[in-house]
Amino acid sequence: MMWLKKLFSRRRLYGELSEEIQEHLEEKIAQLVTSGMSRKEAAAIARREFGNVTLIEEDSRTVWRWPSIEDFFMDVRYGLRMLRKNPGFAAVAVLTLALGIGVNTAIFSIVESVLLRPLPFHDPDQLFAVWTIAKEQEQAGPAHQCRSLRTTKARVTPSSISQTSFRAFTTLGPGTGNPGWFGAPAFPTIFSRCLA
Amino acid sequence: MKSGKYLPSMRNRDQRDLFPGALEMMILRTLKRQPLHGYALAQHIKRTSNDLLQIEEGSLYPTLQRLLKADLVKAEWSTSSTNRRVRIYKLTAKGAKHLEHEVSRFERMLEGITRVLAPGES
Repeated sequence: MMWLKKLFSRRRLYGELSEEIQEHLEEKIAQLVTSGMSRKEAAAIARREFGNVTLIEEDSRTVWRWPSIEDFFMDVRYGLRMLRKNPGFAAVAVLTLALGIGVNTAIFSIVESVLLRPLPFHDPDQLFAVWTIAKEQEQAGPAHQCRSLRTTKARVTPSSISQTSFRAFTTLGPGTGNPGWFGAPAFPTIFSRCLA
Repeated sequence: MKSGKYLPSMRNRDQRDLFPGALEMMILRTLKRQPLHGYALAQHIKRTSNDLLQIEEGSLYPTLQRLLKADLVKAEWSTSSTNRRVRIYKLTAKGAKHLEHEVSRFERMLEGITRVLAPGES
């Protein structure tokens, strides 16, 4: 907790530092005056031998600062001041940011729900999109027909599926297949209803 | 790290700049002898070094703040013999240990430099 104490006692530290430096100069001036010098001349010599008071105070205060954090907040304050001074630029900047963040969020939402999030079913990697292909026409389409599903339900298993008239299938799950072929939650509902 | 600024050799061509950490070491050594306030500390170093190290008096203060922050010295306000309000610096136990360590490092460094500078070795 020492650092916290130091942080909040900085105003006092800075005050003490200024007072100490003034006392130093006064003591030097007094000593020179005692040795026969005029006060004006003594003050000039004292200041010359002491060095640049402002710079030395600044250097001394820097010791107690946290440069990286404080510089960051200083930059933030500067940025806010500049934005207030130039509302047109501020509006464009805010809109650009809003648009950028909004578009990114929207795209991520889509990617997340379509590709990243596991399907809300037990063992999602065991789900299959079943397609029927009419042998004569070689036209493929999702197996939406309950009747065709019922007639083949005994054979609709991962191991038997390729031997049945359901020629193409794909697993549904993160990173595999293409669950975008149909409304992902809709098909298993139909499937389970049909096979119930 | 600005460990001290020294007057450029305007008045005395023999005055030398010091290596970083030298001023800290001299302050700690002086305070080991007796607690002092900033002005007295500056005068003591000036006098003891025979004015060869013309330290810009103000440069003591950033160094003292660093020592305070590192708990190598502590400071308290008091009244001087000339009835002046002064801030007296005292060496802490940690400061004494640090001084010992720094002096031994400095001696090793000095020994190395002396050996290199010694004539007839090369």
